[in-house]
Amino acid sequence: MDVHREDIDISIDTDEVLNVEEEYYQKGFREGQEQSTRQQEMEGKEYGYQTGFQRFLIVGYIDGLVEHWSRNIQTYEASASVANHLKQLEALIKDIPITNGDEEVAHYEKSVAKARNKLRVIATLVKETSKIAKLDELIKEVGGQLQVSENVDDMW
Amino acid sequence: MGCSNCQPEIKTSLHSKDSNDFEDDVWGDDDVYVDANADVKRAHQKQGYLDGLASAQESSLQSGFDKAFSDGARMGAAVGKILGELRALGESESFYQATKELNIAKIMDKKYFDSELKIQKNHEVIYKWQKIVAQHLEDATKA
Repeated sequence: MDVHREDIDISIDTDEVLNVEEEYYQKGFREGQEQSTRQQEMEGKEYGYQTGFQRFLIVGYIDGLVEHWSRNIQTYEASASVANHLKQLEALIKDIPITNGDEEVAHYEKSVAKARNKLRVIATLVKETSKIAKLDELIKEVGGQLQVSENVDDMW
Repeated sequence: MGCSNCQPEIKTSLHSKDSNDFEDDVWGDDDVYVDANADVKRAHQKQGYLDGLASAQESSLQSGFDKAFSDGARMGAAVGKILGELRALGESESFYQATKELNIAKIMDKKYFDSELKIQKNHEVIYKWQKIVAQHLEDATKA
């Protein structure tokens, strides 16, 4: 700290003065550090919520379709084949971890890529490709650009 | 008793000529002394605070991100599922409405979070749409 110790007009116990200065400096420092640490953690949280949300929209969407097709499995031609594909797709998305570690993210990328392919196969098989049409646009619209919010000030 | 070395920015009893008077005068006004001392405390505390602000713990951004990511993922998966179900059911009106109400900017509105940015247990909008989906499913079964 640079509060001109050398300029102090000494007539009382110097150590005591310096101790007081140091003590209050440290007190302030802790408060400042806590404040900025908290602020950064909050920023991290906002970004974490957004990223998690954006990444798992597709997973949930596939899950919804899988449940729908499974419920109506009897109505499809080649239902045995459809059921088999559905089982594989279900297994793929069920195991995707929702944490942000390096391994988990790699797992996510791999599983989602496979799941997308599987999804196309099934949709074609049951002749319902319209249900996965413009899926990327949908994901982008719902999870995408935050700045399009009409009341940006209300967000965090 | 001179004070030629006094710095203008440190106008406190500890540094000024007056301080000697207070020190010498054991019967000095305690209140005045305390106030003056508080200035020193404030000055140092403020400087410490400013230095502290610039020294946020480096891991805090990442730790915040990691903490919120899973909750964000759960919400995203729930919203995706609602949309998938509605589209599969051919409920195009509901589907369209849901894409508006479940938009990330609406879901992440700060009114659904506390001051620590913790989410309500059941996000009310997501919950509402889960019920709508359940109702559609029920209707579809009856039909």
